[in-house]
Amino acid sequence: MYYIITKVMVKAWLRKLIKQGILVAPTQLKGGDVVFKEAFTPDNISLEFKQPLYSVKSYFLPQEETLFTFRNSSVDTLQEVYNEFPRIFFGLRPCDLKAVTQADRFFGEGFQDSYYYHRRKQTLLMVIGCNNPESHCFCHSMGIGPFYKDGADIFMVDLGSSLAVTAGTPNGKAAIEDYLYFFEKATEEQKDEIILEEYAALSKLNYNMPKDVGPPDFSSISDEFWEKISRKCFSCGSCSYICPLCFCYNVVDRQNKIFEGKRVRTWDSCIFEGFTRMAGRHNLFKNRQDRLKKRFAHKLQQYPEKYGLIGCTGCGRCTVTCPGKIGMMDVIKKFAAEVSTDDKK
Amino acid sequence: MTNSIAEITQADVILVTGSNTTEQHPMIGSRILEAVQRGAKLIVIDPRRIPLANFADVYLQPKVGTNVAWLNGLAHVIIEENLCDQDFIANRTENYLEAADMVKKYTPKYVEEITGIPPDDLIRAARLYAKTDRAMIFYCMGVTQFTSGVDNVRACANLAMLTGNIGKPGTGVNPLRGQNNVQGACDMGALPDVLTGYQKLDDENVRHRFEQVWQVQLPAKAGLTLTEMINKAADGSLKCLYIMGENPMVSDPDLNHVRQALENLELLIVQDIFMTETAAMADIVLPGACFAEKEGTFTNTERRVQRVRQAVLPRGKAREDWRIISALACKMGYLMGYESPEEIMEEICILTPIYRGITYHRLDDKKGLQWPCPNGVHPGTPYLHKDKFNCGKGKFYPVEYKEPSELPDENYPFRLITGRTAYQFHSATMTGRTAILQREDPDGFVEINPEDAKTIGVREGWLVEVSSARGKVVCRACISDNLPQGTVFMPFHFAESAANFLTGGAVDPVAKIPEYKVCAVRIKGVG
Amino acid sequence: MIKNELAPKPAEITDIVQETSDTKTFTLTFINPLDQSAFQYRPGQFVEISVLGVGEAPISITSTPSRKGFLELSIKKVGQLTEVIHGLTPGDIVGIRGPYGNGFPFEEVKGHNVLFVAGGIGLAPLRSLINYVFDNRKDYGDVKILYGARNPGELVFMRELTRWATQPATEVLIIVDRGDVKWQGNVGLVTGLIPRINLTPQNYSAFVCGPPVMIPFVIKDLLNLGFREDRVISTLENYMKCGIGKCGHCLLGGKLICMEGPVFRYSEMKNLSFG
Repeated sequence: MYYIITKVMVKAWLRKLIKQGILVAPTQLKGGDVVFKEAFTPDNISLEFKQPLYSVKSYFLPQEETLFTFRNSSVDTLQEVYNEFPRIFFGLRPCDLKAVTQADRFFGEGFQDSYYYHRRKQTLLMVIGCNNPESHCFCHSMGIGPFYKDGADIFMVDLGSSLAVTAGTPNGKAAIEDYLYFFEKATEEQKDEIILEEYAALSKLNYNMPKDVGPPDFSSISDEFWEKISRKCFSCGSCSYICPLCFCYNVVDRQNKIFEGKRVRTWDSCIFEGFTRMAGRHNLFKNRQDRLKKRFAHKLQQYPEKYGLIGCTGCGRCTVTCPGKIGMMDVIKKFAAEVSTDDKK
Repeated sequence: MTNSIAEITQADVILVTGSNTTEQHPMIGSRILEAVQRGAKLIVIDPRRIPLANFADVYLQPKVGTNVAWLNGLAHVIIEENLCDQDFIANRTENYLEAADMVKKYTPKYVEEITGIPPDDLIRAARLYAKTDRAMIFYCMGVTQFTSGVDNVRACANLAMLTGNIGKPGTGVNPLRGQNNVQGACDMGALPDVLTGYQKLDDENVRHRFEQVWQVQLPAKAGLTLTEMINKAADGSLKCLYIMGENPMVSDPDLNHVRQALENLELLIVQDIFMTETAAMADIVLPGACFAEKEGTFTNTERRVQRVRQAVLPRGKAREDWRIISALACKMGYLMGYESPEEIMEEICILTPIYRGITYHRLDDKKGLQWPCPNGVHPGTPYLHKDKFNCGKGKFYPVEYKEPSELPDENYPFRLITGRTAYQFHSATMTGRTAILQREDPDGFVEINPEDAKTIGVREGWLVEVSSARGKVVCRACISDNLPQGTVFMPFHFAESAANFLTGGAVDPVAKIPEYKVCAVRIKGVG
Repeated sequence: MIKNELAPKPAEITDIVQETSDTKTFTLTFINPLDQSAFQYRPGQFVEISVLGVGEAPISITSTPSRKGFLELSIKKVGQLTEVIHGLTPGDIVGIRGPYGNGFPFEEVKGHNVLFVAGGIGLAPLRSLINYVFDNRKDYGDVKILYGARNPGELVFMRELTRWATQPATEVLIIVDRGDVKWQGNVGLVTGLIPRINLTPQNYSAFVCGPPVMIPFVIKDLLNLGFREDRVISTLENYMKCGIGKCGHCLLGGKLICMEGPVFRYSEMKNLSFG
């Protein structure tokens, strides 16, 4: 059931919703970049829905997070540090939505991560469909699509001067129905428009990357392929840092001169040589090409085998950020070329 | 840089020498790789096989310290094969004949004797560089950190002028500055013989303008360079040193000499953001502020001035450098009454022709301004020397190859190159305190060619002692075939195994830059 | 209230035994008796031991769960954290998280004969299962223990090895790579002991723990002897960090070693490769 709200009224609606939580929405910075920022009012948020530079990962797994503090190394003084603010995420794109719902499984299954749990427990996800995928987007190859909405509390479609809005969860339903006076029911015409927008977005995506080009059979990729790719890798870790689905972390203890201490976790990357280095400099992944192969195999083959979900959302951010131009999209295209030349052989 | 980073897309040929670009200037390295992917040709000339060499169309591996020889060799081939830009030479340069004369003897065979570069490779590189409309030269410390540093740069400039590869987009002679604001520091006259904007101290008119604004009499005589200061501290003629954001106890050459020099001072003041090895020796430590804790501007390697804005307040007693310096000046009897960095910038504008049009207001709107920017509506200058050089015509400086100050002998049979790693920066003051960076590059090492390792009798990871006429260092051995036989490499970042105990104090006679890139060492296994 | 799996619980060091020049066995008891009674583990599992302000490391449990009220960890001094731990004395308190890992398949080998092959400090995790077997002696068949170290000074748990040798249907053979003036026993590699034992491999399960260099050779010899691939069990020394399958450091062949290991049968191990 789609409701329509004019763009003029969207900020007024958000003004009501933020009584229940902190608003996190795309905000345009001075230089033109759009990033997710906590906003005290909806006045300055961007309703143009360009893909924000960073995903919302840092709100659930911050780049640096204090796990607990202590004094004098004493376990008795251990104080956990949780961040439990309710948050309303407005303007998440489907790729970032998928990352959050996948993170829910990763951090919730097995040993549950209490830090993630506290950050996630009171969030409202308001997702916007992508009318205009960027040239680096390929979510449709990664099992989702520009209008993917599983797990969204609210899903919205930009219809130009208005937004079409639908609820996906009871919380989402309440967020609409409590303020029904902002909305009108969508007409048949408007419902058709939604379908057309999705179609247009998909054709843009098919131009970026054919839909059926997906993860390869890794046993058919030669070592030379990885060696060639590894020459372009700067081992900077940017791909992991910016990837909404990369959660690997490092843990360090810090203590200052007056013996106040804390244990923190920080983002880490399997691309770094030190990630798997053990005492005595023993390292199963000493070569850069082994680490690259492991990274791609993990995201595209092993993780799907375990969770039934691909370890990539197709957001394209790694492709934009990689200085060696070997982001996921570049590599998948290279896979296709490699496999097709093998066939020719 | 004479040109701009964005112009890399316009270059047909890129020549990189003495710069491990992908590891030390990764954003520029990335653009070079992109250009190569789109068809630009790449020439890499480096005694160490750096990662960028994997993508080179021509890779030359000269012996370290022989830059002038192969640079003159390239010029020789270009002149011999009539590949010069005759128009450019005739209309825009002077002294060509003297320079052409000098390079006559640098035949490819002669160059091979000195550098080890096969003649055919040298010729290929020369042809590639010259036979194109737009070629850019990039260089870094592998050109400057020699007793022949200035000559090396002159030889690069000669090459560019010979082929008309200067004064238009996608060309030029482009040094890659190593710190975020070393260009800015030089622009502001942090050099002993110039005021801001490279205006000569001994020019009376210039000095008088400054004296008018600053209301004080200025010395007309040039001061000391860093290496001269250390020497004078050692012999007792320099009594006091005020060091800001520099860690000579790790980054200066001949560290035993540096320690003795600093200990000899009557007063050592260090202003820094962490307790560095130098700060630990100071009589007074002034806590400074880091980049996120102060307002101002940084000027990057392509002469682009950009705003830096305070995001957090300095902690504890730390203060921004300009506040500390102003407070000190006041206490010493000179009232420096600036209220803000913007006020200081306004003064810079008044006194510095190349910065005259650069104001905070203008920097707010855009992504910075490239000097020269002579007035308030000038858009900045992407590339220099468009129609004329500063002094009118570009001057060819003929340079003769001179050997490095110290070459291997039976006692010290290896050439040592000191340099950097990807994850540590300088004396590791900041990067060594960052858990993941410190994990990636935890300690010092010496990179040795596999054949040399066999001769010395060491294997990967074994501890070795590296010694020179100045001192010795123990670190682990790292076997690598990126180095030719007879040459080894050590990063200088690690205080516990500081490569600069080994380097010597010989300097370039003009610039006084130390010869960090070559000295003689011996290596033996320990324990 | 959800449990914070990343927060260690305080445990007191009640005893320390110096095994070798660089290895000590620490006996620990949780300060809170509820933590102690809740700490149920299997042989072959590990804990994460913390000294707050220095760091945390995974250490296998060397005591057996059949003896309650305490746990024992044998720790070799290899880095900054273990050096600090070695400086601690009884009464000092450390942080413990766990138990983690899959542990040895001790229920499955009930009724089997068991061969233990250990090298150096590799005896520590095996000791947990060995003592469990001896505490439940009638549940298991013959026991053979082969133990090797570089030199006599590196042998650990010597007092127990002599006691184990007196157990019914048990054979213990010890060997060192290099002896010293006092050493009267076998000299050579631990693989050299394998031909000396008399057993029918079909009825045996083998547990192998030791330095990474030793394991492939021992496993090869056992397979050649006729051991079944799924009855040769070892541990994978990999870089475990959080112990709870979240930080990603121990990922190998698509498996998180801290969750699906560190104990693996050879039949599983040989499929774990680099990507």
